Amino acid sequence: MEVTLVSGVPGVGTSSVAAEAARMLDEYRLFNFGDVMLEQARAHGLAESRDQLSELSVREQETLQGYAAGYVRDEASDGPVVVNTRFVVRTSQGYLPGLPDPVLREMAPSKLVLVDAEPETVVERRGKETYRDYPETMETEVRFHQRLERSAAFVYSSRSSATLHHVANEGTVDEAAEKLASVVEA
Amino acid sequence: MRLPETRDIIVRRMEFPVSCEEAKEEIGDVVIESPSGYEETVSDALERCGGNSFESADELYDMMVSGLSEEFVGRKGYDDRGPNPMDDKEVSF
Repeated sequence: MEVTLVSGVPGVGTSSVAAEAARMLDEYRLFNFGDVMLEQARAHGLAESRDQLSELSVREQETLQGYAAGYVRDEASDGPVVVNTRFVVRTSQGYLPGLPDPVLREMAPSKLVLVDAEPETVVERRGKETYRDYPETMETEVRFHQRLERSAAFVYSSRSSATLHHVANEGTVDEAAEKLASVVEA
Repeated sequence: MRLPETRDIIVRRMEFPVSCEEAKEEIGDVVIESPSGYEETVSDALERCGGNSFESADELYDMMVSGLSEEFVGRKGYDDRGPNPMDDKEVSF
């Protein structure tokens, strides 16, 4: 079982980088952790859309995270997977760990990858985004979230023995995707 | 396949931006299975996207999600599909 978890603060471009990297990685399948949570939330009448997930109670979100972790584990038993997730989740009730201990144990990642960029770059990208709404628009808020992501990544690494990798996404998506692909394949 | 599996199909087979019709032509025959075993195709889910076009995989995926039939949406607090994995943690729905 081979699981690589990829994260970055909203707006840094993790989804684009992961998608482009997936096209370079024939043997790996790409999953979005939020997709699995949303499927289950809808099946249980908890949420209709991705945005509504962040409005759920802490307990409901943890339960959905647990289900999604089991789903990823099952899929990874069929072949290596790359999972786009959030190491730290911003909810209406505050920040939450994206990978609580039971979730981390279930997925047993071998690699953790943090997609990163300067706070001003993230703010600029959020400003250009027309599809998603971002609650944080100040550089200080982005910087704080990034610090949480980095701290969480190191904690997850120490608890799971997964190696931790940094992918800068300051240039083109292709450049970052190539770096991510090389990390995943190494 | 289950809905989350279509993410990989979308990012590998689609070039964005893409029109609704182009998306249906490329991946419309993919069959999506609900957690309860109900099946429908991506074309069914995109039936209402009409003249829309999508700038990203996220936009297309979200449109698919919103276009799926009620068989994919449960009623809060009710589950007729047997043991509920969420019941293990005593979460009240």
